[in-house]
Amino acid sequence: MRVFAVSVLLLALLAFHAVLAQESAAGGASPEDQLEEEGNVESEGAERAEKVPTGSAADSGAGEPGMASDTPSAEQQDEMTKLQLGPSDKVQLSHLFLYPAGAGQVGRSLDLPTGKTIRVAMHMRNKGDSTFHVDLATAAFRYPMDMSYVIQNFSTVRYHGQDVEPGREASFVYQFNTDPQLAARSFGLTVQLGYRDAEGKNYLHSAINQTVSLFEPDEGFDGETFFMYIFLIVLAALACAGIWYLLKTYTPAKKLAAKSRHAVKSSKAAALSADSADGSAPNNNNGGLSPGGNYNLEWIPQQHLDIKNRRAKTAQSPRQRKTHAVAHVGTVMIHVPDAAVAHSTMLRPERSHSSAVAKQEGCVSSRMQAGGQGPDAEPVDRIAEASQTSHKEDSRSAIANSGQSGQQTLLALAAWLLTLPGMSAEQMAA
Amino acid sequence: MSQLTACAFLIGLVIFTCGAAADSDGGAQLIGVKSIANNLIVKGMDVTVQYDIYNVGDKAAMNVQLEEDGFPIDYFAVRSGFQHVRWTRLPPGANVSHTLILTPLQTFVFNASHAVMRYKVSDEATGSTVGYTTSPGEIAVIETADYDRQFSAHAMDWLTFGMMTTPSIIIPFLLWYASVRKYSNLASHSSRKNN
Repeated sequence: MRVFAVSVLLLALLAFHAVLAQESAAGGASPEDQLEEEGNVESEGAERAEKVPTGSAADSGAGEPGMASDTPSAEQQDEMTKLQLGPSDKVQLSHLFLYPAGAGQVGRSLDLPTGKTIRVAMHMRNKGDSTFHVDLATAAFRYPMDMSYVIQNFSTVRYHGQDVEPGREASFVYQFNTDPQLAARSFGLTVQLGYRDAEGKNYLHSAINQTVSLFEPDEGFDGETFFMYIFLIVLAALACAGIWYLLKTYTPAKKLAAKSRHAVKSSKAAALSADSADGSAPNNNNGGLSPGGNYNLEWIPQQHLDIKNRRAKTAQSPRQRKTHAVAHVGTVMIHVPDAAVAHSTMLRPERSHSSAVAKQEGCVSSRMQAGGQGPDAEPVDRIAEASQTSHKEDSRSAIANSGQSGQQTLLALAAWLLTLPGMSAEQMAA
Repeated sequence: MSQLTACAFLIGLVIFTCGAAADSDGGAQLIGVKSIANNLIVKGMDVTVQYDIYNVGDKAAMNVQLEEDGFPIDYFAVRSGFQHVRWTRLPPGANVSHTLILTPLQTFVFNASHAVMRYKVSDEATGSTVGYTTSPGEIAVIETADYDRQFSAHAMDWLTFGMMTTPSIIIPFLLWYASVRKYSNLASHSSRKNN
């Protein structure tokens, strides 16, 4: 209680001191008061309250002799002269907040939003006899308890000496930005207009000199929060998916076997039963698994599982199969050296004519061995005879007559590649 | 009797103090804000000048006139709005807006100065008070070509580009198409012949 009373007293003293200082500055004050104010800038808080009375007491008590002992240098005097700026009593100022509209009106506290551009309009009325030239406007956020302590200075706007004649008025707009980090704090806002009179004397007149509290405006849609929620939802979904996957992977094997037993109904059962140890019951497919139960056989195509039955299905010897493929490929290969045939991508242009001839002979011999190939016999004959003369014409006729579709040629190429070692052996033999 | 005198004295005191507390003179005070709404001022395109007049005084302003003589006829053509406007009455706490739309006729740097307001501070006032609005300051009028370079659709440029790049695309396509057609014809022809 006592501390409160003391602080109230000190505030009153401060206010009195400030009023005195201002009036004395307007009338051309002694530099001591200004120096006193500037000297007190560094301290703040409770310490301020205690230093001020001693300062002012010293000032009032010591008076002239105490201050005269510290003779200021020329530089300091210039500074002090600059600081002697106060209002002119011939000028009347009023203000209006353009943004936010209606701020600081009678009955409403001055609340400013952070992160916005605050616009103020100042109105100046010249009640004197001479013209005033308005130079600049500036603003600052100060410590509310001590308006001489500046927390943030705002930019100075120049008005380039706008003339305001006697009896006339003028309006000036000033704007500044409040930093978003200053939310939920109160400051002393000063907006000052700087002007000079006809004699060139400068004045600094406060249009606004009051405490303002800053608040954070409600934006409505906050992008940050929105995307944070999306991120959390996705994380939760991911976690659920992970748990589901883990449960699926690490359930006991019995459950898996039971599932696949229900699923398998195809003829693969018969094929697997042939491979099983007892080989008796057709339905003993071991649940779609291998005989050892290690892996799942359902996905393997049927032809690979019929290991023992493969020979029986294809009624052709490997040798016959190989030469048959060569015959197919031979029709395509013959015209390689000369024709630049873009569509036959499987052709190898560097093969020489001699090898082509050798292949022809191989074709013919194989044909005789196999005892006729079928519909391809005729075109192979013709090609073998005519290829010596002009390859280019034959190429087209060969393709036309061979009756190959794209797929067949690809299969023929694959077969040819497989029998490549065999062919080289043939050439050496021939 | 003493009560009457006391009352009279009090009333007189009140009137006196009312008259004496004329720090703000008690009349109307008009703040005029002149602003240019454009981001870019381009020769041949509209410039919107907005005037807002606020009455921050205690009384209604009478016969409010706004005079704008700061846009010379050689440099600006008035598209819409008036340069001399009059309002009969502006109550305290109210505001009015006025818009003037101009077209710059040349490319130059222009110093937009203040407009002049004249009004009577109250009904009883004898003479008009003259006030100046705010000045937007220096404005630079840019060429139409500079503006178009940045903002136009560039339709002709795209058309020219399309025409110049068409050969590089069409010629290989035609070659490919001819080739595909020829050999697919050949393939289908040969398969038909054999089957």
